[in-house]
Amino acid sequence: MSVAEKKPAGAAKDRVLSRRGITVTGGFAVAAVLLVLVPSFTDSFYTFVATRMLLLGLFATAYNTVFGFGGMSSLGHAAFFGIGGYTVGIAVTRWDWPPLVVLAAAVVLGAAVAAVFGVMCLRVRGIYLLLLTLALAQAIAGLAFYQTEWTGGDNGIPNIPRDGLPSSVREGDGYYMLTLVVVAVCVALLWMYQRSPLGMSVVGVRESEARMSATGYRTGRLRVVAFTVSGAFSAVAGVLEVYLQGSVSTANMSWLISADVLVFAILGGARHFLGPFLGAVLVTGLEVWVSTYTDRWTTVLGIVYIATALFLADGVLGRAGWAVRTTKSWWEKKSSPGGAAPPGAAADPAGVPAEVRA
Amino acid sequence: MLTWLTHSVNGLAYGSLLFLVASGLTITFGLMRTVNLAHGAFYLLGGYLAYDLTTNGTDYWLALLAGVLAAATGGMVVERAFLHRLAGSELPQIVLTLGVAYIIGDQILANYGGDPVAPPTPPGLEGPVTIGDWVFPKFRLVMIGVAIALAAVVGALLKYTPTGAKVRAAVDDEEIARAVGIRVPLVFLLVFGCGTGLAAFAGVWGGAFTSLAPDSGFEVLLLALIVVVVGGLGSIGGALLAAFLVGLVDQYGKVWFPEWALFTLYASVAALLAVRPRGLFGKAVFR
Amino acid sequence: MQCDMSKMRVAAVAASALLLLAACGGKDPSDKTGGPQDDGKAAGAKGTVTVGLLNPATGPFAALGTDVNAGFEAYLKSKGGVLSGYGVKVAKADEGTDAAQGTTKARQLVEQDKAQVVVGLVNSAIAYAVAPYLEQSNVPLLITVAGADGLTRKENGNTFRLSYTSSQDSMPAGPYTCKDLGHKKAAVLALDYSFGWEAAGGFARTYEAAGCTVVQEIYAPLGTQDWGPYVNQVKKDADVVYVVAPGQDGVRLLKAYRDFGLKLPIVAHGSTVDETILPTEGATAEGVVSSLHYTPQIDSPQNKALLDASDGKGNQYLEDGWAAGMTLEAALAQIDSDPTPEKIRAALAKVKIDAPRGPLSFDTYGQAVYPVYIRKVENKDGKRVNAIVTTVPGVGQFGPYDPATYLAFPGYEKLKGTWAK
Repeated sequence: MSVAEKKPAGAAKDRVLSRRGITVTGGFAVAAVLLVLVPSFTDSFYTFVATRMLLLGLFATAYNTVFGFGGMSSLGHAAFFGIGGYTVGIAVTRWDWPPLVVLAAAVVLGAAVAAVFGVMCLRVRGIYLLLLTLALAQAIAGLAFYQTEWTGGDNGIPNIPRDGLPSSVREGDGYYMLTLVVVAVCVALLWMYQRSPLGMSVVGVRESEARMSATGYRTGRLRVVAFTVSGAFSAVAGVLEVYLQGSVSTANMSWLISADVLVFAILGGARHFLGPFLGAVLVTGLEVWVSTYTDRWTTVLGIVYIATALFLADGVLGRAGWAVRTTKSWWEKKSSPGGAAPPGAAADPAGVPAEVRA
Repeated sequence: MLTWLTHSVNGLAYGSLLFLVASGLTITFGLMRTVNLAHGAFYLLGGYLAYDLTTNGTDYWLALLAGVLAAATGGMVVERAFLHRLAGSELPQIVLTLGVAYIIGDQILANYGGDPVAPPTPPGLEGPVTIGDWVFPKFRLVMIGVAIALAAVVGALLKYTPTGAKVRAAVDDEEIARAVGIRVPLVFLLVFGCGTGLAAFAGVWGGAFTSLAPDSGFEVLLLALIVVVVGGLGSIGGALLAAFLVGLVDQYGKVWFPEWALFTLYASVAALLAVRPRGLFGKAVFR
Repeated sequence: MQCDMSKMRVAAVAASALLLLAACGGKDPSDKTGGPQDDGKAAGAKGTVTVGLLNPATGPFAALGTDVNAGFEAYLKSKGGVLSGYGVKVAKADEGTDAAQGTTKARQLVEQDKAQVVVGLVNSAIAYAVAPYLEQSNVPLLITVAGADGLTRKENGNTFRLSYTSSQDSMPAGPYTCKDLGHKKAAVLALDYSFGWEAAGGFARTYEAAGCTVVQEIYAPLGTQDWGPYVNQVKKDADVVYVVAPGQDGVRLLKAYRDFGLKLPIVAHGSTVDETILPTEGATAEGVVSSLHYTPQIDSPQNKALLDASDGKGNQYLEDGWAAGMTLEAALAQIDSDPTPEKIRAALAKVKIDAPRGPLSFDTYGQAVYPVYIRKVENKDGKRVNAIVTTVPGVGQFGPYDPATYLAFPGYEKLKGTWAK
């Protein structure tokens, strides 16, 4: 996953890059070790919270393939998350499907419904896309509410057994590890997709649809692809959530979930691959933490949203990058007698668009 | 026969309520292109304040005025302090106004509790009117008239007055408008205040119709958004027509296929938007 | 420019700070009662017991949750924080609006605060998600509001419920409407979700068993803004309308009903006109007959104690919280030392108390058996109250049926729409 894999030629650049590569690889290694160790240094409750952070992080990362990289602000992703959840609920309680089959079914369903969303949204942009996806998701939530024969209506489907899972990963620390592995694999797949020519051309469509279209890309198809990929992985997150909770209800499809994931992405930094993941972790953690101390945690959340909009339009990662660059250029200005910042201090060393870096 | 008359007129009355809510949104969102998810919260603010004042003995119309002014002021504060620096970037606007909506809703919950409340029906409009065999609530009938009148007034203000011309100029090309001496920030500030003030008016009247609770802000918001988008951003007449249509679709949907109530409304809106992205009367494309 | 930017930032920060101040200035119920960190403390002779109080503080059910908490805490306070010799430590958490938050908080209560019993839950979907977790962790659950019938269907489980199952309180209304009131044909007007189907179904079943006919069923979606379309569909040849619409929906329904000048008498599930919404409903609720396990009009020393402790305010949720305190006290009285969750569970099953609502005990499924009151909204000194018309003693979740017969019936969600003849 490191940038070092794609070295451009040139000895000087190479050295810089490999140093960066080492840092990045090292960073990932440390992060991986820390993530694996989470259950051993927290109590069972925090492990549960951490599990939710991981799966919501995956949801946010999947969302961002449409939002940050596709440039399409969807407000309907709760539908895919919910579809993943209901797939578990229905398939396990009715037909006792094994987890892998459930997962596959959820991926197919999530992708299919998302493709329909994508096709319906072909003619709309910006705020209209936002509202159209919202209306579509609300219509699906309406189905979930009334098709009680299948969905259990407002009470949802309770008592979903986890017997299909191997007993060592059914709950607690084991389930955390399972989630970690699934999320890691999915995030890696998403990363590969985003760096692939396909993923890059979706970014191209975001930047200039007319130009992409003129150079022969079928931009409409690319937009549908972005939705499909996003829907598939959002459904995986929904599956993980429902296996964790043991129940699914219409709340899994509430439009506020769509709004939440949008905020995750913006707060973390939608231009960065891992930004939304970070956003999900931060907001989830904040909610748990603040609601422990006050019943008025919604107000605190509101203040955080306002602060995000005002000061974190590029997200936490965007801010961090800005801070690093500013410090660096200040430092270099100070240390070099000429006083001029070296060219490209803020520019990108790798030939990759800034956002496809972690 | 009378039943159908009742259903139809009631659909129009409900549509009128939706238009009252949406009217403020057509100005701030449709015209100014500022996405305000806190619109429902200002609706609540006006309604709760009027409820509070009337239960403490204040005259109804005075309470209504106080609610409207308070929400207008609150809206202007939000615009001046936060929103104006996010002009043109809809996503931060969404996050910000969602935050404002959370705070207002949560503070209403903290101060008034979660039990539903209802501002009184405007004096003189209680009870039904009877025409022959036909019985219909007076308040609802008046609501239809108010909605049409409001649409006419707002439309005329924008179209025929110098202030309206300034607003349109400021929205269409901010820089040129500034260059010819229009104080654009002030115009935007006042327009936004009008929008939230209208939300509060809808809150006081709509609250008497449907009652208020701390989370009814979002229910109202979704329907109002639908009306504005279906009507076409920026079109007052379009919003009125859309409100009537949504009201009738909702009414007859409930009569004919009650089981699909939530689905029919949203699915038909989605279908319309997929085919006609700009709604019924939308002109300009959103950025 | 730089300077201008920073000035703007300062202004924005100042504005946010103001907002924050405004936010903190609000009347904050948690100021007084505190979060899970605060101990209810007070040392008891026999030791302490930790009670997890899990009710909504946010979302549509916040008012109900606040009342249950207030009732429970008022009872605790009246006993000086000690129940049957045990000092009670209260850990409180917000149930929230979805199962994800509900289970998160349930886990926090059990795993971090070490709650030995959990009291609360309003939203049935959340209760369905939380109950299996508590079952698995062996922590008994005492439900105070959530009504879904299916929550108490397991014999000798560790879920107990003080409040009604959705159909429990409406079953006595069937024979009363048919025989005592003599209304032979009923139209049912209910909310289209589980609670509506179950409550309406309970009425329809006993009403038809008493020899009368349901002639029409109308269901409206939860959160219906305008009830005009529904009330106008009520058949003119019905004798009575049976209504199930708790909370804000009840307010809207009754208003539309009166606005359109409908004249049929209304019989309702008690939650349609309970004291939390009765002041808002005002004159529109006049004359509504309903059935519920509580009304503040009950004349008993137990109810007087509750009303005195809560400034004269009484409603079913306050009583549920208060009765939870009494139930816990009666359970702890059976335990000599070391109140483990297992001991509490066993003791709860044997509890018999005289609650403000009247005599209360649990069936083998953990569901409370109690009297149900037929009430009528009357104007008493300018205030509307639910005056008692008659009392039906010892109503359980299966009503007049024996458990085996009742459990063999298809679920109410399948029967919805089949009652009308």
